Amino acid sequence: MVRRTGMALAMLIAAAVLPLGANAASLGSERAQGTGGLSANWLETAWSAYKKRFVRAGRVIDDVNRISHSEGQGYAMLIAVKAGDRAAFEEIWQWTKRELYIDPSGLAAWKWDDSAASKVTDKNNASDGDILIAWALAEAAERWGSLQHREAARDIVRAVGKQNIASSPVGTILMPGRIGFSPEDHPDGQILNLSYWVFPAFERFAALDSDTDWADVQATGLKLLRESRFGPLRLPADWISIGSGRPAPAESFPAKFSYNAIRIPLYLTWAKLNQPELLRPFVGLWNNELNLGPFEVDLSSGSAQQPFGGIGFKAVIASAKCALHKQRLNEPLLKVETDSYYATTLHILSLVALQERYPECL
Amino acid sequence: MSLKFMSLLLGCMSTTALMAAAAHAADSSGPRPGLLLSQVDGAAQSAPFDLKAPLQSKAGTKPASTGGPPLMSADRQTASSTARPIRDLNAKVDESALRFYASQNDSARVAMEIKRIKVLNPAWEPPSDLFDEAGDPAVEQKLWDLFSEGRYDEIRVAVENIRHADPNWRPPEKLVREFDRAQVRAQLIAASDAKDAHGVLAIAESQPDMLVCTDVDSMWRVAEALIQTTQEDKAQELYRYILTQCPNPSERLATVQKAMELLPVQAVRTLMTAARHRSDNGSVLEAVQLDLLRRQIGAVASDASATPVPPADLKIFETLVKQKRMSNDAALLGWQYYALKSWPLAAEWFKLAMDWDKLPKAAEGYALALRQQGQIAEAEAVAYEWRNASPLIAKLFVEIVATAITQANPTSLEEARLARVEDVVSATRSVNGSQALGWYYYNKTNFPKSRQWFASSVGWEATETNTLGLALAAHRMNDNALFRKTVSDYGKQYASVGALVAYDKPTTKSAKSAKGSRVATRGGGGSPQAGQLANAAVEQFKNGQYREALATLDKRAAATREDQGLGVIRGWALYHLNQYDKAREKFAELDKQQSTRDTQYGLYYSGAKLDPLHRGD
Repeated sequence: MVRRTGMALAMLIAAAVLPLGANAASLGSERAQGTGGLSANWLETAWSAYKKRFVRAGRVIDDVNRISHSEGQGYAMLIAVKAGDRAAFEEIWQWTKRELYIDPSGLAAWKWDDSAASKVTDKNNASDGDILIAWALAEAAERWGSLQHREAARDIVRAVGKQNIASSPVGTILMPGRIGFSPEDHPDGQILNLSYWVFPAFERFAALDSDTDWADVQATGLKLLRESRFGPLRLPADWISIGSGRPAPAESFPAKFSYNAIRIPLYLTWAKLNQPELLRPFVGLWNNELNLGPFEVDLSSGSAQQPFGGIGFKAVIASAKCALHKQRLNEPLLKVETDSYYATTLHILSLVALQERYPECL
Repeated sequence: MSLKFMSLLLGCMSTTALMAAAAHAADSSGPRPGLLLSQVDGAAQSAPFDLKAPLQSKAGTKPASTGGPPLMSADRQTASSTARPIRDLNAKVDESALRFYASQNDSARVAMEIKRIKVLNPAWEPPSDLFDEAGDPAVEQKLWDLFSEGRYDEIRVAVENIRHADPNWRPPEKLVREFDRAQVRAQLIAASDAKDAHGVLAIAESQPDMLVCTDVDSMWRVAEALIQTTQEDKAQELYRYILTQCPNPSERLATVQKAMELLPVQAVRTLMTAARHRSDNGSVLEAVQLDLLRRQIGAVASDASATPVPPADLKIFETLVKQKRMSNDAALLGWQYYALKSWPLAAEWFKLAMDWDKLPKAAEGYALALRQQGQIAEAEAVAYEWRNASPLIAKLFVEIVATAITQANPTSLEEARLARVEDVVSATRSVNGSQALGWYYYNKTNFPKSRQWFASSVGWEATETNTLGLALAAHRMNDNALFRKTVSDYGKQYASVGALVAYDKPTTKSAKSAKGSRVATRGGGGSPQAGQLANAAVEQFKNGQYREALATLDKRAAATREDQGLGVIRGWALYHLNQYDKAREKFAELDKQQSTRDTQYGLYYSGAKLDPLHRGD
């Protein structure tokens, strides 16, 4: 039962997005002459459209999976605070607190399903959701000087530290959830998800919670990432196991580079790691000249599978190309078009990351 | 602070890396994650020179490397043969596009190409080495770039920065190893530059993998340190290692040249035999062999007791010199024969060198060789002709003439010859030449000229001889002021000049008696027989019959007392018979009785023992 929970969470994201090929057309063209970067209020505009499409009274809706989840709440809170929309931020946070933080663990229930009678049917958490929410709260505390946001952030970070952080033979690890990923649950040992290491968030966490060595957590993540280069394309799997002492694609999951791991280059670009070279395996996933990819990849053969559905995934790769090669963003990616929840989220966040870290690419 | 920490860290890591590498080399059956390393690291092709290994027997020219290299290559073969089956299966698939896309890091097209090939060849497996080793090529390249520019401190900082964000990150093993090696190398060079031979050897022994072909310079420095600590045999082994193991021909040539500078000829010959086993640089080695021969010939030229050059080698060399008209080598042969006192051969080679190229050195040698053969006139002619080519030749010319004219019984020089000597002496301000001219004119009783040349000579550089000459010439001219000044200026310094004080009582008698020839013609003594004997002795002396003159004088001395005039003749006769000590004794005795310019003059020459072979001022 416990194990099924973990599986369900994983498969949900993996199966997520339908290709939206029509929107992805003609991205390969070169930047038009005379245009210069993002418009001044691009984020407000994009956020306004995002709210209209995905946010209902503080609840963020994953339109493809037709549910809400802690990850979505966290992403939306992060965009809201970056856009300076305190009212919306407050509304989303209050909903999240009320509907998801219902367990004494102090961690958010990962899924909220409007179609289910009890809404929350599984109180297990997804650690990336809690991390994103805490990060957004910490950003809010700084932006608005709000103590209650800081305290809320601290409480969540501590709860994650207590219940999702563990030591292991490979170092201090971040478990994907409270339940269902431990060595007892899987023959190939502890299961991890490298895209749950939200590297840019860890920079804030050290100041909030001294009980957990967040630098150590980060170091383990980078080490595992460096060792998780599977198959001919040297890409990480969405889910890995570390039972053998070295990471391997987790046996209970498809050995694929897919909708989880696609976020890894975004976090690497955004965080102050001084290691753009970690991005090398990712930057070729989208050939911007041919507008080819990015694809989900079968890791054992290195064979291309379905293209990721949505412009936002190209934006993620483009931001990585910027971080590694100082390559400027392709013109069409400067405008956030209507897309699915996940693709739109990653598109906006890629642009925010570039604005903060590599404005010269915009 | 953190810099220090990093250096510690790198230090620790390098040790680990070295141990890992050592374990690798030892365990050939295990997996080889460092395969890339062994491919890149060309130094692994030969085992490093083992500084601590016992010396091999001198007879063998076996390469210094032992079991190491063959083991490695066998290992490599095994690795490739196990890999073969899969590659055979894949042989018919064209992977060129795939590899091209991978080289562009174009994963999207790689993934599509793999998909396409797999549709056509379901059994095909994509190669696993499409992309570079999973390291971080960009940052590693940056570190290597810094490394190649010797910016070691910046490497430390860069490594520290990365590890700050990611403590698990490790710099590439090869970089750590090379970094370590570079540090040690810098230490070794510093010790070598400071001539700290023991330091050099200590460093080299602590870093056994240092003495490899990728760093021949370090091996040269270690060899030099070995020689400085009298371990020539070991140095020879090290040179041999380079000559037999290392791939770069110009480095091997330079190695022979280094060995030539530092090792005895015989050791170099042995080394060259070892080097000749490699056929690729035979012609270069020929040049080296010539250098070696030149060195041997040069050794004999500067010291006739040096090991003689084997006649066969010498013959080959001489033939080649004549064939190619190598004037410097001809001159070198000339000096060799000159040192061996083979004057005609020396003259012959000098002449060839002069004819091929107008070498002043060869002309000088030629003139010297001619003079040694007794061809004084020819020697003088050559030296005069070449006097402007080199100050040494001008000096030689003066010297030849000076020797001729300061003989006790000089012949008169013809006007032209005298004039050219005077020109050269003036032009070269020759102290020796001018005092010789002073004496020449003194003996010809041309005292004004004599005084003039002695004055010039003293002006250029005062010596006992020219000050004495100047005082005597002044005395003979009754130039009392100059006489007194000279005696007072130089009398304290030179005893013979000081003794002339006695002259400062001008007695017309003694001046008169001294006038004329310095060879007394007075009969002296009472008996007519004594008078006849005196005349006979003078005649014999004039004819150069010195022994006979001495016998006559002895006969006369048995009967009657010998006066100063005959005493002087006795002195000069002894002098010409090379009995300088006896001559000097005689002149001293006479000078004690009564000091005259004759006794002074005799004293000077017998004391200086001037002989025709005497060279230099």
